[in-house]
Amino acid sequence: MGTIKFTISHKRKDCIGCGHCALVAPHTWTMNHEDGLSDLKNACAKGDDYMVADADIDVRKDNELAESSCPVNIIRLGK
Amino acid sequence: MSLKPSQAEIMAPVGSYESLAAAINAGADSIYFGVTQLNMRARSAANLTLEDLRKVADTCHQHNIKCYLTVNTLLYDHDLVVMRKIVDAAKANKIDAIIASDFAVLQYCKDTQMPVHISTQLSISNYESVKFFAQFTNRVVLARELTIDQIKDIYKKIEAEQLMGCDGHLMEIECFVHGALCVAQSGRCYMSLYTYGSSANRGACKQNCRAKYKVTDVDTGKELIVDNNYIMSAADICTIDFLDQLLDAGIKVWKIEGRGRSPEYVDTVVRTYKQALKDLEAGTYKQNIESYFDKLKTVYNRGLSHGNFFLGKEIGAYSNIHGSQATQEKEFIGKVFHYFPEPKVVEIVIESGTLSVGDMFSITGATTGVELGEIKELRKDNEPIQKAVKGDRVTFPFDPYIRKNDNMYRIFNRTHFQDDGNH
Repeated sequence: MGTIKFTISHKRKDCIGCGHCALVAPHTWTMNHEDGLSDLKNACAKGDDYMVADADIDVRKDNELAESSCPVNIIRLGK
Repeated sequence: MSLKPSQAEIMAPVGSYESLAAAINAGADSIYFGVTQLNMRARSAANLTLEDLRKVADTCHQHNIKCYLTVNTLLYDHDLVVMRKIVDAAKANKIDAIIASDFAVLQYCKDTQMPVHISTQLSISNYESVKFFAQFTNRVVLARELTIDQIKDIYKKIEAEQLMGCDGHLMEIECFVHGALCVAQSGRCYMSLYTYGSSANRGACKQNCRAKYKVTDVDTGKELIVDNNYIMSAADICTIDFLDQLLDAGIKVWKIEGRGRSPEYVDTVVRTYKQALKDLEAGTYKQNIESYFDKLKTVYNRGLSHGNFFLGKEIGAYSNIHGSQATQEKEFIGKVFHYFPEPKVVEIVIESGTLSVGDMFSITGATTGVELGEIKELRKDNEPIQKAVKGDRVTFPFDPYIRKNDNMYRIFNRTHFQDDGNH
């Protein structure tokens, strides 16, 4: 039986690069030193604006904090 | 020696092309704006982008005004590459100067010979600090916590010692003369980050200092009795009634806060200060002060105060309601369908609200800026009417040249100042 996963989406173009997501959920987020914005690790593009990734359930709590504290509300967690 | 009114530079806040046009039309001498994420209004919806640099610079220079780019957040290591890109792009696009607070930006501007001004975020509060920063710049934005006497002392020393900036000109003093004031030292506040994870120093302040609070002794449960629950919400700065003292204190650049504000705000505030400066020169300033206040109160404000300019002599003023105390509000009516330049007539379809003969209105647009007027006559199907409602296609005469798709708002006096305390 595989690990339970959930989805994360990131509207990267609206990121302001504050780094809070990478601070509270470093296993899922990293800061891109080229454009200063956050990167969702192992993500694929969805449409023009969104990046999406599946993550293990054990990092969900940290990502809930990333979602709730993102100043520009561009992080969304799915089921 | 006191500065002359003609030497003052009124610097307007710009967060969009509408407010840029408004600033120019209102007579601003310079504007400041931010792009991308490294500016203190990064969270504002109206931010411009790197691609806008050339257009903003060209537009300003065509109108003989200066443009300054804010790169004034604190920076982390992951920001350094993009910071350099922004400074390089500013230089390539002929932006007049960067406004910076992080030393990495100051150093990079120095290395690349990009003019830089020192942001108020560095809280420069004494002459020796001004002297230190003179190696990087020609202009400092002094801390918002300084009194007018302290500023004057700094100016006197600059003059006495003939303190030159890095480009060989006498150091210039810039101060915020109008707009929001933080309860924290020059905006360097941790509250929004601490409570919401949303950093004020990255342009993402949640402004929770503006809410109502109670102060309770947790041991006894007793509440501190305060006459105003907005204990952290400083009233806005307004200097319109002592402009002569600003000149006397050597404040050359008069900066207006409000990159997140509407074009109407930019228009009204710039126009009022510009008029007051003209009146000062003409000797008619003192008798018009009340009329300046009346105009400034029509747009967004948290109550007008002298800020910290007279600290020690006046008690700091605090806001007493949540949000704006503006005496006027605006309601969206619709987009301009057509403008007939020859008869000077506007055609519009009412999308929301109503429009009546006698109503005051504003029309705003990226090229238009802000134009204000009154409905003198209203026609539907070429017949005169008194009132138009949603769905009506109407025309009315209006002299200023406006453009298709400009936004029209009805302006009306506010009668109710909400204070529900639920923010």
